[in-house]
Amino acid sequence: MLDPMALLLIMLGTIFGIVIGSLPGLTSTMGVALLVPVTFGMTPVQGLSLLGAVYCSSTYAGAISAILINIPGTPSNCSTLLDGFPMTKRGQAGLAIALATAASAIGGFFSNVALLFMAPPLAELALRFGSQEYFLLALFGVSVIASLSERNLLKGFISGTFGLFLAVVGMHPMTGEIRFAMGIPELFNGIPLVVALIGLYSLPEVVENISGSLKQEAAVHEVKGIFGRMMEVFKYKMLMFRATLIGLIVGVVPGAGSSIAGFIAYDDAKRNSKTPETFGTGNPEGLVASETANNAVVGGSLIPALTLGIPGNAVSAVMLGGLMIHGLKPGPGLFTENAGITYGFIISMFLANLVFVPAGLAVARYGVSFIKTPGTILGPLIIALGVIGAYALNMSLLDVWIMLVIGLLGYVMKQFDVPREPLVLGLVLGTMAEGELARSLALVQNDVPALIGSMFTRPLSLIIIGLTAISVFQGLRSQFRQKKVDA
Amino acid sequence: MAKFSKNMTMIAAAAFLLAGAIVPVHAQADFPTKPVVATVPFSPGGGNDILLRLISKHASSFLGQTLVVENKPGAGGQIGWTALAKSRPDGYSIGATSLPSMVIIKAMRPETPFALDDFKYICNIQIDPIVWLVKSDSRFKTANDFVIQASDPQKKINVAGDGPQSNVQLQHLAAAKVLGLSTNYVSFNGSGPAITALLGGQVEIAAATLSAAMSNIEAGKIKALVVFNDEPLSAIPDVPTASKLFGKPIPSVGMAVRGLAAPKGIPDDKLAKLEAAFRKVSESKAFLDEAKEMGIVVKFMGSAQTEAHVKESTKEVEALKDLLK
Amino acid sequence: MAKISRTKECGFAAAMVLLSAAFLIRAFMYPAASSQFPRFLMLLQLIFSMVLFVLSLRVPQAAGTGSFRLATLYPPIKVFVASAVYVLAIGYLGYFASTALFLCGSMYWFGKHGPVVLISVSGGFILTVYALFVLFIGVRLPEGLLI
Repeated sequence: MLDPMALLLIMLGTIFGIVIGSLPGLTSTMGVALLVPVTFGMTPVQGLSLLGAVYCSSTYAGAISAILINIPGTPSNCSTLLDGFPMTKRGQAGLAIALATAASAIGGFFSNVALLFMAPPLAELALRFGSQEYFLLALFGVSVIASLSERNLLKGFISGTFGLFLAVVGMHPMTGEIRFAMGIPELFNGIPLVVALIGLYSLPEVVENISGSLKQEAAVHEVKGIFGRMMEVFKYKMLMFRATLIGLIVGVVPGAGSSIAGFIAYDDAKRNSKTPETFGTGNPEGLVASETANNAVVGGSLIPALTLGIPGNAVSAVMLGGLMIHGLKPGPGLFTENAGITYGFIISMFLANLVFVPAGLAVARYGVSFIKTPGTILGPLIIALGVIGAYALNMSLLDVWIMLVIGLLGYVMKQFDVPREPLVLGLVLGTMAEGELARSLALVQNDVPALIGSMFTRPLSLIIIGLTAISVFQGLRSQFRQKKVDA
Repeated sequence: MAKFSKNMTMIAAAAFLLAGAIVPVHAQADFPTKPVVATVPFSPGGGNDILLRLISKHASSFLGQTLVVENKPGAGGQIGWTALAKSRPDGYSIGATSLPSMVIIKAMRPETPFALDDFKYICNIQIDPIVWLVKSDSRFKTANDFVIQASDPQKKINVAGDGPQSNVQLQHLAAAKVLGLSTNYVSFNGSGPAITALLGGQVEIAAATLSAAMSNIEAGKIKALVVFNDEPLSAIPDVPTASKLFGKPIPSVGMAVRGLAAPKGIPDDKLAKLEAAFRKVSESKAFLDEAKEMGIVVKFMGSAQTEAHVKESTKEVEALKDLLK
Repeated sequence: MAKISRTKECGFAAAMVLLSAAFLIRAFMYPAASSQFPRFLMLLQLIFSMVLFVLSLRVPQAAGTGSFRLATLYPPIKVFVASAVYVLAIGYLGYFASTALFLCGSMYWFGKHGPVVLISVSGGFILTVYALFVLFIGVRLPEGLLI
């Protein structure tokens, strides 16, 4: 089903995806969208192989910049830097990248297995998600904040609520009223997540870089025997299994904000860890969990896209467009009428998940020396990249200004020891929380008791409520224990 | 003094060069000599984006140059259209249009910095009418079943649809007004999510664009009760048009009409060349075949006809815009 | 871990209280149907900030933090001023001209690098961006007076 040309395209797509993904501000969506016109002259399988390879590898490659320079390459890798960058500071950048590579490949591989064999039942799951389930899912996501704000719970909550609030900027999802946008049309649809992310992480990091407070600590990065050490990932079998499941489900549910998969898996890993207190200081478990989960999103997000014609996230929406241009009709008939192309495409995704492994190892072996670049050279380059990333998203200079303002916010937060990850989580979830609650209320025509009643009678709602309760309970318990240890 | 005048000469020369660069001196006969960029004011993957990418796939041979699609999303299209209105009228910057969305934006947000006559409409390519959709096993067998049930103001039926302030919502409310229905329109984040809600049983009926519903209609999962368009469509021959079914004139005000426009001031010969090229694209068999596969209903209108349609759409939306408030 | 001092903590908490209150008032200026959620959030944030303020009063004043050194503010000021000038310049000079100026200027300002480093790094960066964005994927970068 795959010709040699398709294999070559997978390799080229992987390299392109790694470049796009590892540059902060250039997202998977952008990478795939930019390549759609390039595929016009190709056969459907070739074109889709190329796009699929870009999707897989760019999702993975966001980890590289998260680990090396503390700036997530794509929103999905935000939870990766929590433990990835501390590992780099400890001189374990090579190991961190190797582990991230292996974890990504495994997460991607198994979610593809699900795409191949379990697409129809999982698509059913996607349909069962109604507005109230989305709202509860957003609440579940918010409950992760406690895990992300180890040092100061209160500041974490402030950061989280502020993130949720920032997500509210723009049009109300039901009434259409435009709020807090200060008359700037670029803000009518809210603050773009990617733009916020670049500002929040890049600029404070540059300040750190040029003020020399980030002494290179003469860390000797061990890069020998990376391949062998990559196999250490298999120490975390159960962890990866759960993370794959989390990524798969978050990916399958359309519009659930696939970047939360990493956060949820991180939280799950921490709660189930024997040493939760080492999370945030360079525990490979956190890194492995978040990378496994965000790559498991890839296969998951394609399930509703292929079987129902409903994209699971922004990238799969673009992939869907590419599919249609190649004459494939997404929907229930895809696996029967166009079986050759569809299965060819899925097989190419398996290959794509293998191809980025050697590329990633090369980065781990040789790319690590990149961080020895003096901060005063690296800093300006990071800013220039951030600017082009913020611009290229919507071709808008105003977005670049938004990026700078949020950069200032990020710097202030860092100075006052306020964790930034809850803010990102809030930004991801805010629109969903507000919109879906409003929609659930509209669906019951403002009958609040009926809504609460149905939340406790629909099985899926109950499951999410249960998960949230467990998460909150365990979070509080670990906080309490921590206090005891401190005292 | 001599130095001063030398400076003045240089400034004058520079100004002259700049002016030459900005003002198109004369439309060349061999237009276009470089790729034409079409701005899509929506994110990749949406209806306009897919249409433009399909056109771009087929345009090269008729245009003599490639058609580059560039997304400039934000504020429901406002940002992209504002940018198009302000771009250089040299024929190389064109953009996707979507009626009545452009008109609705202008009607709901009068402070919007573009005007509908800031554009010179090149052509129209696609029409995308609104349909009422139910699941195949719904208790509503026909649109009249629904109309009877929806006439009770005490028990409003939920209708899912793209919104708020969308063309779909406008169409639904316009129809509800003519038919005297009292429904509860629930806005979803696009036609896709509205259809998902229908498939998942969250609502009994949805209003959506035909192109978004097509694949699920063909798969037999959902069916269209009525199409809000004046003439029956060959893509869905069994679905009756609203005016015929209800015996009352229902304006097809929400039907998405998608085409291309250039900023005003574009030289007439360039406009004509673009119009001719896109006419040939829309008549080519390869394009028509793929469009049909994708559920795109092609209806070409030339520049003059499209201008007339914009005027008509503006009048209709102005008359009904209070429904959206 | 950053040094915790009472002045800093109190200042932060007080600023957050004011900020939350301001946004809360703003939220109430929109119709209720469109602003339930932001009202709730800002109320919550106001409460959190007030608790933080009360707790911060109990933080011991760390020794030796009384003398605030202005020099610690230089790096952030440098970074944000340089970035703002850069973005401003893009609108007038176009992407490539201003990027070249920005890279050379800021590398020199931040680290006093020699001309070889300045030219090779910025030249390499611009060529890479040109090859990747303009030639390969055809993104149009802002144009100005000088390309």
